[in-house]
Amino acid sequence: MRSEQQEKLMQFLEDVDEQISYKPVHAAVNEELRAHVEDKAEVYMEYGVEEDEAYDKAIRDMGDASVIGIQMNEAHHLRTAKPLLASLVGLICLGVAGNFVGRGFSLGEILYNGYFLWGFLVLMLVTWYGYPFLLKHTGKILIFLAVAGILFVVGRTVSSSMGIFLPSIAVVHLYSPSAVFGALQLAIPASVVFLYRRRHQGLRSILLVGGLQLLLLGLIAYCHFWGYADSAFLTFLCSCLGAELYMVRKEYLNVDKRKGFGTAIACFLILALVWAGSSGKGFYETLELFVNPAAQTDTAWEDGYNNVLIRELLGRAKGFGAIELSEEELIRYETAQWYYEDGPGVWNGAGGVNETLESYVEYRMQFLDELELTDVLPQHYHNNYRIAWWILRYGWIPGIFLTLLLCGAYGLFLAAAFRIRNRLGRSVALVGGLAVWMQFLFYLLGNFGCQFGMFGNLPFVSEGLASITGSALTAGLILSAYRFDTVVAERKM
Amino acid sequence: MDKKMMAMSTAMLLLKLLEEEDMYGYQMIRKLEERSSQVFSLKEGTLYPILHSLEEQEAVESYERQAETGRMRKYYRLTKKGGKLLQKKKEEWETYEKAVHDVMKGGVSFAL
Repeated sequence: MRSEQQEKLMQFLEDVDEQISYKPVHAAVNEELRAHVEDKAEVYMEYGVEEDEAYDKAIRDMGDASVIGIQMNEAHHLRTAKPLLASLVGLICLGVAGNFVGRGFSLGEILYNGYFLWGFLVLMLVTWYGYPFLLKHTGKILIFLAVAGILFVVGRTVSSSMGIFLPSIAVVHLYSPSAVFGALQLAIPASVVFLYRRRHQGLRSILLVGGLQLLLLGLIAYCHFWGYADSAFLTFLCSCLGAELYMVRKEYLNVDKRKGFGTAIACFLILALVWAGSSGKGFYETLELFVNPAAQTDTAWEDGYNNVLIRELLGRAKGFGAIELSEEELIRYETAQWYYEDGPGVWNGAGGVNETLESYVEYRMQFLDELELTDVLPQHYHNNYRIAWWILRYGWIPGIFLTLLLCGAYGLFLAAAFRIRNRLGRSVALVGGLAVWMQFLFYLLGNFGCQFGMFGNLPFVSEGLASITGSALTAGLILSAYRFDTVVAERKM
Repeated sequence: MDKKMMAMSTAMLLLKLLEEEDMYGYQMIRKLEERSSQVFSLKEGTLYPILHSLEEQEAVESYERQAETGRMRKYYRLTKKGGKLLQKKKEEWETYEKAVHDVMKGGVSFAL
């Protein structure tokens, strides 16, 4: 093609591009239109038309470049999952309001709520850049996780066997719940991208992901992080299994459906058994706390006691309106005497300031000025027992209404995922949505006195700095996958 | 042909062509012209937004294949969802066609 014709074709393509707002899509559109014009010009030339004229005619046959561009822009534009975004803002407002209600309105409280602002910033950042970044750097993220894990294992082994103090290891240990939670949160979408990228390898792709999960499990077990990680690891395993089964069912993976389902479920079961086996007594204690918390009530400081207390209080909640407690009852609940003196509890403190029930009662008595329901609830109630608090404060019916509202809000995570066309984008969003649902489920169970492992977070409502970072990362990736759905083509991944 | 009628039917015709075999854009234009004795001769560039929008609806999916000339071509393939959409569009078209035919034929019809 001569440069003059080249220029005409370029001009035509530029006119089309001018109307398409998302620039990265220009190249793919241009390539397709250019091939069409060249095919058509060749046909004209076969009929004896001069090259110059052939290209002129071929470009003219394409029609108005601006019209094509405008129509293309309708098919390829960045989208916003507005219902999900609105729901996230609503959840954050609920979380901030909950903190103010629980802890009072003060400058200190405003500063304390700063992590919600941080979470929102992470959410926006991941929404804008997250999905393309994840696609481009999945390998690097996995390598980063692996290297960080290996360095930690080596550092920990050296420091413990040679008695050397390594500050970085100590810091990770100090923040181990956050470290484990963060690593698992990052590993969830990375596992799905890893699986999708290897979709042509058949069952091997599922087995490889199972292998990666086993490595992560080994790291957690080696570092004795169980207890911190029980609910986080189960969230990780279940959400990944859900996404794998969906990908098999939808034929995203190049495997026979029955074999695919079987392999994914078998990997899950093996990992669950290894998990239960490696944590040993810890796993039994987690289950016991979940099913029969009364067995873990040696003192009122234990989680088991919190679960027993919340079950007792919920049993007294009304359909509508606040629970009615006399001043005497409030005092008995506040000091745990209702359970250890009036009820079946046996105090069995060993050492420390609260070795006996009397010393505990004495300790609690100093907080008895203007005793309120919020003082009676288990420790950290404003973070851990938001739903239970709502039921006790306003009654079962409003509490159930709040729970349904939360179901709807978290349901929008999955609804957004199923509206994504791109297979990988949908898988990433689905696994994120499932992870959010698992967290919600664990939190909900904990609010009814069935705590599983360490108390988890309620995404965007009851959060700490690490968990809101993880939640923002998950929700941001869903919004981002939705945003780039019509403009990021799979072949470019 | 009237532009509105063309727009209404183009997506259906493209889906029908793809039901038979995978095709690239220019090939579809040629096939449409051949089969319709040049009646369906649309501005060729307008084909692509329709194809891209069908792809967004998951009615078709695309892949690239190199032609003998070395040129990379983007082929489109009908999906299961596209097959259902084609069926629906065919039914809509037949209803429309019958209604037009009945009106043009004249007379009165009674619903029983």
